[in-house]
Amino acid sequence: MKSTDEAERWVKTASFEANPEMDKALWADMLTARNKPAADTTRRSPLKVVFRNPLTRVAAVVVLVTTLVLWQRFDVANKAYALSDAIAAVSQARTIHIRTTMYKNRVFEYWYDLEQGREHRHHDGAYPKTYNSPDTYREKTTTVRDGQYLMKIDHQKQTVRFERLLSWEQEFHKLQMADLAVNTALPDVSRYLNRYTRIGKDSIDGQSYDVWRREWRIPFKSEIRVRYDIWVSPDTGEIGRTRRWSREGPSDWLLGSETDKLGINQEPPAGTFATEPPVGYTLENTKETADILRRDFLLHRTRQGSELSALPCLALEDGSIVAIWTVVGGKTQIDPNKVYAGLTWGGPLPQLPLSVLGLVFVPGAQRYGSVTYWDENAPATMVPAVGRHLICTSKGDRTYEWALYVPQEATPNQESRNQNIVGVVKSNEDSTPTVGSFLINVPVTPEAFAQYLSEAFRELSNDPNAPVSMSYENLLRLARRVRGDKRLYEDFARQAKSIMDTPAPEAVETVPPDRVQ
Amino acid sequence: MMEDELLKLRFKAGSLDALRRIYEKYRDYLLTLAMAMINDAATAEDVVHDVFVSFAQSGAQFRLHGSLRAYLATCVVNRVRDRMRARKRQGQTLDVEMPLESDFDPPDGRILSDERSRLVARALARLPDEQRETIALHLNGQLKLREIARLQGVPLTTVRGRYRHGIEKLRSILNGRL
Repeated sequence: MKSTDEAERWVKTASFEANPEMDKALWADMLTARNKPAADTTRRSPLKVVFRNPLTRVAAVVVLVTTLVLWQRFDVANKAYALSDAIAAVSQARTIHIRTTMYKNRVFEYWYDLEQGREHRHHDGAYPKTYNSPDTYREKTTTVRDGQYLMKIDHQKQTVRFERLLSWEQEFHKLQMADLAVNTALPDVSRYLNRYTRIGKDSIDGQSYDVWRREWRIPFKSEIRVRYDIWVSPDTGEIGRTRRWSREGPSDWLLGSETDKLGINQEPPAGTFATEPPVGYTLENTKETADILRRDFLLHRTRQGSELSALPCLALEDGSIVAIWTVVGGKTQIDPNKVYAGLTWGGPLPQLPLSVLGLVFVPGAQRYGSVTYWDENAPATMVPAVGRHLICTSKGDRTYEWALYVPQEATPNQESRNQNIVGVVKSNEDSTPTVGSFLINVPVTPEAFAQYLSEAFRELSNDPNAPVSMSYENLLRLARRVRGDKRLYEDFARQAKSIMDTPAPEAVETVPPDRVQ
Repeated sequence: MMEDELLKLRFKAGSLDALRRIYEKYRDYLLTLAMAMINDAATAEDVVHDVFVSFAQSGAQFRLHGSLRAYLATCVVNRVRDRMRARKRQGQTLDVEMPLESDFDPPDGRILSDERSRLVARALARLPDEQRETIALHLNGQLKLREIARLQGVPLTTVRGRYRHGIEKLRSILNGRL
């Protein structure tokens, strides 16, 4: 058996590389080919030929249906579910129930309703009062998203607070919920699927499971290694358990968290997604007075208390981003009439105590605390996007800046995917810009954009009618003009030098699957 | 992988950087796969050349919902099969008669490798086509057996059998060197 493994290992590690000469020649041919149209684009497709004639069309359909039926029967008979199947099952579920225990004494419970975009999160745990202190305090909270409101309950303080959901954010949240649920249930697994290996079999409650494992070293904390084990039923694809272990240096592996069997398509208890406050709790506000500015939207807070928040952004088809942001709090009084006087469509951004100077697209990047990093699955790329003023709107005592951020290279958005974008924040208090949190961004079609725009104006403007200049086509036109002006990017690169020049930190080091033990 | 999804979109939108990244990312992967399947440096080079040139040419018409890596691997397999069929028509076979430990290697410096990799390619060349293709796709191409079954148009059990028998045979060919 051992020598069989060795034979496999030899084949797996065999490697052939192109030398620079071949590399150069091949790349030159590719460039030439890229500029030539494909030779046989006019060739008639055999399918078109078949489907032109009614008789052959019927025959083809019969053959196709028969093949599909036979294939499905055969495939089911031979099915052995792997980790990828389990992930697909989670993302296609109607409801998902997850219960995770963090050691020690912290329990997280989640219910996701993927059809209606509703969510219920409950947390009960003990935390040290100060770092490494044996004294603890308890946190017990429940958050419910019902599609219109977020209800946040603090069971310790017995208080309830509501936040109102913006329609486009809720719509996007619904689209993203499957990814969110998969990531909650199986953190990072989709991303590192090729790094998992099956290490053996186990049984839980009489059911047999394959155990899959990934092992890696946490970046920036070189002594900490992490293992993530997942129990997948080869018969049903169900996930019976997950465990996350860690160890520092040569010490023993410590169990960090454990997730029970995932509940797929279970019926949630009655009232799970209801936003009715518990009896006897104090209401900090009501649904009628709930705000749209949520903590999730906060990009940056200054020492003087100014807060910069960005609402979920709209990503156009060329990758340009329409961002709406506002500054609240702080000691500096802003006179909108003065700040916004003289600003023009497509011109520079307003001079505010805090502003989103530009954006940086960081595909494949992840955050660890305040640090952005890439791993072995993603190249360390950063695409700058410069910001131009569009319009400003006022509602109540808030003024909202609407700005267009244009990436240097057209970067088509990814349908329902949220892109990794960070805001470059400039503050009057600091001469060097800093990086804010990842922005929530919603890819939009022209139709969706028109719909969200009118909803946004009702929410964020005293005048409910959007100006005609704010059309999808106009924005794309402006983006093309901005993209053609190199000076804007040079200027942004100069201002954000400290961010753009940050060397990529060392990559996450994953133990190759064949060496996981 | 998210990066590949992004690369596909950017390549389709005409990004030269995306094409370059795809090329750099998969060049040696495809070369290794082609060498494992055909054990001939010049032919492997031709195959990878044709795959990338054709890919570069597809540009805006490129449409792919699945994995980019599996797609490129499939392109290599199809072109290798074409070459093998052409060779068989001409009465040629792979270099199965060449001793495993050989000082003689094709004097093609355009593909770099170590001795063990060449030994593996020579050993694989002694396997029946189906077994060699299955092993190469699974171990070098990193495709799942289920994906290989789909690609070869045979049941999963057949692919499992081909893989198991191929590895056993390979072990006996490499006997004493492992």
